[in-house]
Amino acid sequence: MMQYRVKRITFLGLLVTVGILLGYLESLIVLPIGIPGIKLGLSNIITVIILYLFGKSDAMLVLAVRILLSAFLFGNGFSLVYSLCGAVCSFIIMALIYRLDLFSVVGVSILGGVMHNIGQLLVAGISVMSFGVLYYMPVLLISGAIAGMIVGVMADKLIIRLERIYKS
Amino acid sequence: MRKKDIILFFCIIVAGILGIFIGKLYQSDAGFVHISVDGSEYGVYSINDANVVEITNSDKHTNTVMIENGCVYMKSADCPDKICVKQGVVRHANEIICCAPNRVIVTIIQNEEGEYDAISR
Repeated sequence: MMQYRVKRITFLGLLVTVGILLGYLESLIVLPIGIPGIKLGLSNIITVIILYLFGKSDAMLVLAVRILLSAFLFGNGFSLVYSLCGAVCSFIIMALIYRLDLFSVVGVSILGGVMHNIGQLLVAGISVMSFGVLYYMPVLLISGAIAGMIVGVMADKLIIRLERIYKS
Repeated sequence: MRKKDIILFFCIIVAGILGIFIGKLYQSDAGFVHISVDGSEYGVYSINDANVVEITNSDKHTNTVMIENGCVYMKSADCPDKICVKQGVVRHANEIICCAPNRVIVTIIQNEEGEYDAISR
């Protein structure tokens, strides 16, 4: 089964790369929100795809690798903490909803996107020691939901195609 | 995509829109500009007094905060990404401009009681 392992690691490695690229492209889009680390959440598509194709262990692994590499390549100590917190909040909810099968990929992505932003907001709130950051919550809910919807619809199509490619 | 997903989407959007309206309703008046550098309070300035605040942090990096006409913005910064500069203008209470690499946080607050007035200790 060595062949299977190599295939899986290669595939996951490629997805990590795409994830890092997406993260970089995202960071070029400046959002009018003062909270550092707030992104559109497009790179979540990678996490969702792996969650559905390989399960939560691999998804967690890829998430961790992607965050660490992105932080070391493009970020700083701060951005690592923000990314980690957002990713943890997002992933816990996504894995739970996926397991409970409450929503389809789209719903999972939407909740993942929203929870990511909420996680970032929490870290920001703690670092400035104030509830004032909640001012940005409504905007983040909306942008998280929209990004999540786009990610979910794309992931829905991609998962089927990627599964076919992987199994061939 | 199931019907549940669409319902979820609209629920969140509606909650967000409601949140924006409630936020505008209970918005406090912008009173002061609180600047913290390297985690500690650097200064508090009235938003109504035109001001140019030059900041140098412990790593000798510089930021320039402009306060004029009740607006606040980051005029310049020597950080690599300059997200803080590109962010533009803030004028409402609780809005924030943050230069993460230089550890500068500019917040608009209502009164000058200090950064702990929102969380009791």
